[in-house]
Amino acid sequence: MPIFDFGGRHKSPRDIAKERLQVMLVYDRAHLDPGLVDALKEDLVRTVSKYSNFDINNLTIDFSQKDNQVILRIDIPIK
Amino acid sequence: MGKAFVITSGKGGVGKTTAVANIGTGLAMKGYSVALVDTDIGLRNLDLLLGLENRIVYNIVDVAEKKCQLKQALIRDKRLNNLYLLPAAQTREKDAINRDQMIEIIENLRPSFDYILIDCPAGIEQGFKNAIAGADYAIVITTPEVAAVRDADRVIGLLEANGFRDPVLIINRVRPEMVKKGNMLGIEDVLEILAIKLLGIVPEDEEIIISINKGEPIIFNNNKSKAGIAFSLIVDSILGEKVDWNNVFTEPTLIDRLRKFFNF
Repeated sequence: MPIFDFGGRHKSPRDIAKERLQVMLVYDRAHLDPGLVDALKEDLVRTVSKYSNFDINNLTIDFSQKDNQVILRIDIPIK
Repeated sequence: MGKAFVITSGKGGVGKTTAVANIGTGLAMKGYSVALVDTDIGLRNLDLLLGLENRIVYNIVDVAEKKCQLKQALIRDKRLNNLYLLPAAQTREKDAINRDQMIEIIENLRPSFDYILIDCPAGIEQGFKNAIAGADYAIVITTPEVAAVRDADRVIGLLEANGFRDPVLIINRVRPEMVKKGNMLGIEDVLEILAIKLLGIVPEDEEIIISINKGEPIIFNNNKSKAGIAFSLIVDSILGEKVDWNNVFTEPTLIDRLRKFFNF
């Protein structure tokens, strides 16, 4: 930890623990391994890049949870 | 007819057995008749925490296999004559009992006891499935650490899938000073992540180690230690009293102390 910590640039171990848990539990609850999602992203990029007009550099993959259902959301902006 | 609670955690070493020994002793101190059931077959420990290890003759597997009567296997506590232990078998495997046998044992305890507390083994395999089979309510225990919280989440999912509608949570070994400095997950963090109702908080307390060494649950001298007070409040909470956990274990700030001193 730096002696001078201005403006909260450094996250506390408490915040890091919370963030890691929140991400981890989304994968756990969806019965998915994080590496699988990376693989999915690569496949998507490969497929989508065959077609023009898609901004694959800004493709995002997100999970959200609605009741007991985990939802995978893929956003691909159009140029 | 007695109510049966299972105390479970997923991860080992977070305080299941300690919680069972203390909550059970606390309920018995309030005058209720209590049976503690150790389902951790092969790794029996609840007897040690109660100081009853030298009194075991029969165990839960003997009862399941009808080698003895249920009454013969129940050991009466040293201090409280309304507290009993049904010990686990130490030299058998986890699958020495099946679900139906466990349900039958719990059902046979109900007429004689107000509360039946089931100490669940770590893990989510057969031992866990057995332990939850006969219970009406589930208490999940965790510590404010990433691995324990992750495992608690898994267990909560499995409990819900098995028809437990509202499992409640005990957060054990909390260190308020570390939380305040941003070095440990806080109560609200854990509750937000697990989305579950709080039953109680137990602060980290060296007295727990001493009490386990002596074989006497800490709640027995409940006003002398932080963890003892915490377990007493958890017992109150189980009995339906409203406990405000917000201010229980936060250290008073300088302002609080000044305010108290100058009475403003």
